[in-house]
Amino acid sequence: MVSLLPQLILTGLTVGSIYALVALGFVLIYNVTGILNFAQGEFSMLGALLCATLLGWHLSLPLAALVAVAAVCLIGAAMERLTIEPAFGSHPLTLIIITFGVSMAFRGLSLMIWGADPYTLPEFTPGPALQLLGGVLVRQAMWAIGLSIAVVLGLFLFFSRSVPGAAVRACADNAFACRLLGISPRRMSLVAFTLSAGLGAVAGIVIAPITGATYDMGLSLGLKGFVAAVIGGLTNAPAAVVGGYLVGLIESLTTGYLTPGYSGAITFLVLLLVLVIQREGLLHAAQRRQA
Amino acid sequence: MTSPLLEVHELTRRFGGVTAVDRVTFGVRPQEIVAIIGPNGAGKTTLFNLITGFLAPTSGEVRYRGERITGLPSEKIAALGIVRTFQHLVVFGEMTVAENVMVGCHRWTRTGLLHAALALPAARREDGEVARAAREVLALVGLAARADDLARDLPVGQQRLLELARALAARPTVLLLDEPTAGLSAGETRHLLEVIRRLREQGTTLVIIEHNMDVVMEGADRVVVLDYGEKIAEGPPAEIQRNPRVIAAYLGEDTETLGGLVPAEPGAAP
Amino acid sequence: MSRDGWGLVLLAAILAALPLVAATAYVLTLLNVIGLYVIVTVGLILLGCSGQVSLGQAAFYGLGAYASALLSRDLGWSPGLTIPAATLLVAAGAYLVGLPTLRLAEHFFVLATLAVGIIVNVLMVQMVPLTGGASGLRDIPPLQLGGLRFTSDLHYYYLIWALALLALAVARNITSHRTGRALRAILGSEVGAAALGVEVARYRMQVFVLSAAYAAVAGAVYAHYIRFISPSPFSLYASLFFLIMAVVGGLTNIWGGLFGAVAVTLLDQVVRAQLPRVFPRVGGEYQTAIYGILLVVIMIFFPSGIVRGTLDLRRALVRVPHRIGTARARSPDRRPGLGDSPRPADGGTP
Repeated sequence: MVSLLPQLILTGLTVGSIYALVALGFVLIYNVTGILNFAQGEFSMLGALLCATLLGWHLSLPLAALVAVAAVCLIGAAMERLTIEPAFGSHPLTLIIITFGVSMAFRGLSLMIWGADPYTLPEFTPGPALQLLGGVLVRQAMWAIGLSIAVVLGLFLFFSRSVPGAAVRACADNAFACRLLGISPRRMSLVAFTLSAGLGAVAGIVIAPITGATYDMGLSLGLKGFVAAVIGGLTNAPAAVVGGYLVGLIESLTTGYLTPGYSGAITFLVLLLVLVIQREGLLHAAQRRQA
Repeated sequence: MTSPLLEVHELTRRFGGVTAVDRVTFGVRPQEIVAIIGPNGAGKTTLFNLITGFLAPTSGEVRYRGERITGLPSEKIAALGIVRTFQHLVVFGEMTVAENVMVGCHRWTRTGLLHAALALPAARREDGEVARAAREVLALVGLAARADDLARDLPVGQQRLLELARALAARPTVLLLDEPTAGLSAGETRHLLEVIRRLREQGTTLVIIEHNMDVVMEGADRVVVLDYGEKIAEGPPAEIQRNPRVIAAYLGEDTETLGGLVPAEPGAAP
Repeated sequence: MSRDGWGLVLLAAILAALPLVAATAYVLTLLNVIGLYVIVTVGLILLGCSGQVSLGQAAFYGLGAYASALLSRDLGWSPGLTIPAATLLVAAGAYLVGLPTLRLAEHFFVLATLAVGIIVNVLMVQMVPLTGGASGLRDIPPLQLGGLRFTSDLHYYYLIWALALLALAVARNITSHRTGRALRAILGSEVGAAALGVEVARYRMQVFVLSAAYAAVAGAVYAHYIRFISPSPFSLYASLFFLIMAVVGGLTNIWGGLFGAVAVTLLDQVVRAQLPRVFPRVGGEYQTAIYGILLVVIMIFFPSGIVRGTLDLRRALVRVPHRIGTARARSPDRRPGLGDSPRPADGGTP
């Protein structure tokens, strides 16, 4: 059905921008610490649900969003101090399993706190959907796409133009040299987690008006954001963003043209292919640096 | 002149803009002891990596007994009898010293998954042989007392000996040692030299990367000198000692290294 | 006979006698489930012995179940034939999966298994004409060997635990002798192992296929035991569950598979019974919170598994206590959990 294509593309770009934000969170943490943080998606879930609760307490939307993001940043920092720092120096697989455990814990706790029913968040700028290029784009989608681009630009500027940003990049490159310069890799790790948590929260708050907020939205968001990050090579932020949009488009197109159930499998098939094509060599893996 | 056992021909490895090993060519004859020396960063370990299949060359060849072995995976090259040690330690930390050495026997033993799974007598027999061989090697290097200790509990110097023992247990035809005396005391170094000589008598060929010039002068039949990836000299130790290019390459290094090369002038500090 | 051998004999004796003492349907079913989980978990731990972790073990478990179910129900083969056939099929599948993925670095391998697990689970749900989709497959024929028809819990109890004991014995054997040493060497240092001639890729593949086969056998038996299968016990959650069992027991400790499966299954029973009393809200998987926290705590404080970790703790208290989290507390190459290994109990060391 040719007429479906523009709509599918628009939908794909919308979710893709969220995956891009989540992917950025992955890339940031991986670059600085070498850890694959499987709890990344849960930051989005926590941001959305916290925001919904705050709105329920009659805070204005901007304030609720701000507080929610700040709270999730704190949660991210707490996660780093409580679960990553004590395992510092462990085998990367141990750390991956730990982040899996944390994501499970977040999910379970959210279920206990918020229950299983979805929460709704209002759109940032309510109004009729836009007719665009043969498809329909809800206004919130513009926010999603716009924010993801803004965040990418902001991160780019932070990393390339600011001193703390340069410090983080330096740490990612050579943790040992960083220590010699008095930059603590442990502190960089904390910064990375806090920042990524914030990124995740923003993503969750932006997408929730479109898809609703539930306790288990983090799992699929996280997995897809992760696929996007891997497509981008796990270390390349702009590529991760492109990966995010790619994953969004693939998902949208396969949902539209094939049975919807298969779209998950297709996304992971893409992940498999990317992993296999992009394999790291024996010596490289053996030289995995841990500060 | 016996034909070389191990040959390296125009071996080159580039990393982007850096040429770590530049058209290095030399041969090693059976039961020879060849020392590879050169300032830090000269490409010595990279050369070992290229020979033993841990790194693929950009160009050039490695030949063993006349056959090309370039491009073979490291396991196959080891299985052929070319065994190496590493500068940074790769002991199996969670296994005992004895078990580490028993892994060394892997290349000349045969039982596999099925033998193990069914606990066939062949596997048990082999275990006995391997345990015996390990005991012998440990006695040879002087680690017999620590056979049942975990490898990671050993001090660094003894871990180096363990790595050597492991390589010896493999009964190699060619043994490549990467800085075997680093971290060893003078007494241990002397003992190592004896072990090396005894190995040569038993038929092993040795290629050794060394910084300790005393060991090189006393132990090596021939010396190959690398600098910035290129071979700049080759010959008996006494000749290399006097070679002006070699001395120039080392200028700027600390006097300890230099002292081994340049004969002391009367009245000068040692 | 070795210490481990006597341990197995003792275990077998206890298991044989158990039904005479406590034979309620609930206990038998629980023990049967534990027995199946032991097989799956030991498979996972075997894989862990070579330094790899799989998040797709439940997929192989499920594939074994579906393969045996379909072969016996739709093609009319006897389950006595389809169980081994399904195992071989799944093993072949694992071989194909392993070819491109085993050479990935460890953390990428985990993700590849994660992807495979999810893809397989989605296919189970989507390929409705073949698998019955989300509603699953019914009317799976029970196992029949010769004249003996396996229909009761008790029948399956003996079968499952015989298989579990066999699985433990074989796994323990594999981790001894030359193969076991090679695996532990690969775990200790791939590079060091390769330099001694250990064929890293081949051993990795052997262990991966074997671990999948273990899961497949358990799955196939499960299918004929319960006689109904659906995709839900074979999801990512299930894979995580198996991982937790392996982690609790100690990722490289064969006997830990037994301990982990028992401990976590019992814990799960307790949690399911007690949690609704504390949190009366309906629905959902609260247990995930508990398991998540459990996983984190174990990986931080008991990375070699609970039993070994407690022993290590005792040893550590004798030495000067390190502040948890300093780099000094762990040496650079130490890999807790994945670096611990069973000692060969019979003549392996002089």
